[in-house]
Amino acid sequence: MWNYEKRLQYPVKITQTNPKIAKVIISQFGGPDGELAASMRYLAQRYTMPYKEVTALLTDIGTEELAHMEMVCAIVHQLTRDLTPEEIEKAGFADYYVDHTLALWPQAASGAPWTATYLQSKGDPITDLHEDLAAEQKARTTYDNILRLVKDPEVCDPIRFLRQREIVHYQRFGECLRIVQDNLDAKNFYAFNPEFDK
Amino acid sequence: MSNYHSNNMYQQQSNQRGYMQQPVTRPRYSSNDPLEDMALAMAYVPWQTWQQIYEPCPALQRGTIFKELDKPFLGRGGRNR
Amino acid sequence: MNNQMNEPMSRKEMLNMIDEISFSLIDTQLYLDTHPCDTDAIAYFEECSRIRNQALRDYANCFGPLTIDTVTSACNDRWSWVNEPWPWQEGGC
Repeated sequence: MWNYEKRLQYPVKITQTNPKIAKVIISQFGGPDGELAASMRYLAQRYTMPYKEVTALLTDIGTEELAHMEMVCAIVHQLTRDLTPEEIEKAGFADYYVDHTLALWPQAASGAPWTATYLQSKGDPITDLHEDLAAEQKARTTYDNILRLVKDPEVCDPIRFLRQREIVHYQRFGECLRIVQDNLDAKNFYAFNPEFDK
Repeated sequence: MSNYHSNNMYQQQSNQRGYMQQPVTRPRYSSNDPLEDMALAMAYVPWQTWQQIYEPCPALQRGTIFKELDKPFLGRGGRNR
Repeated sequence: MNNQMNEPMSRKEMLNMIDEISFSLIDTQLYLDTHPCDTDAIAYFEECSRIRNQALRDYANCFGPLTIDTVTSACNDRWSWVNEPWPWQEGGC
């Protein structure tokens, strides 16, 4: 089960609103390669994972991604705090505002709502870990793309932190894949699915 | 060119198939592949070991305690390099 | 808790210290999940954990609880968990 700590993993202190960039950054909340998808993916995969180290890592990274989701939401919230209707319209933020006012709602930058189709939990350790490795790279690329668009150092700062975490997670999932390999016969890793076949 | 002398696929290919093929430079899959003993059709990430780590203050700023995983983004906007 | 100048830490300084030590802890934790026998990492984890737990108690005593486990440290007749600021708000984090 989960505990909550009343702090962000890394501080978010943005003094200048910018709804235009908020519309882009919200993709890391409710988009295909965002933190919510990452968290749900890892937490879902862990229930049937047959290797305890991998189960532990999926649990711990899945939990950390919730903290990252909270950071992304804090960024979007501070970028859109106390906007006037004129500022909203001028920034092209009216589409989101009419349905959500200034609240946070999980969607991609395109406006597409968050969906479980953004993740897979395939029930095979090799497959799921490849999914996880890819997810971390996709998230990193998304942060790279955001960094190219952002000018405000108060926004860049937490974004850089989140990007670096993806690289560390990639290394950990890579090590999990090595652990799975060590538990299988290298002559044929695909002879059976250790999560299902007994 | 020295590329054509060692690891030269050219001669073998034309002998086997009886027709001329494109000459190849030294292939990536030479005997110097550090993964040559690993099983095919699989991906491998190297094992990290516990080296010197950052103190807590720079660690939080960098986004990791591990110097060897600290890989910042240095790119800029919009153009191919 | 005092800083190096031996003056009491501000809320911001104490929170920053908790952020830093907690982060070192979690990065070590992930490493240990895939390296469960690494004794250097275990020793570092235990050191960070000790510092962090003390810091969380000290913070709760001075400024209010960050965790449900430290609510009782801020002993008074009001449920302090509901207090602001929340992490995403001005002055929060």
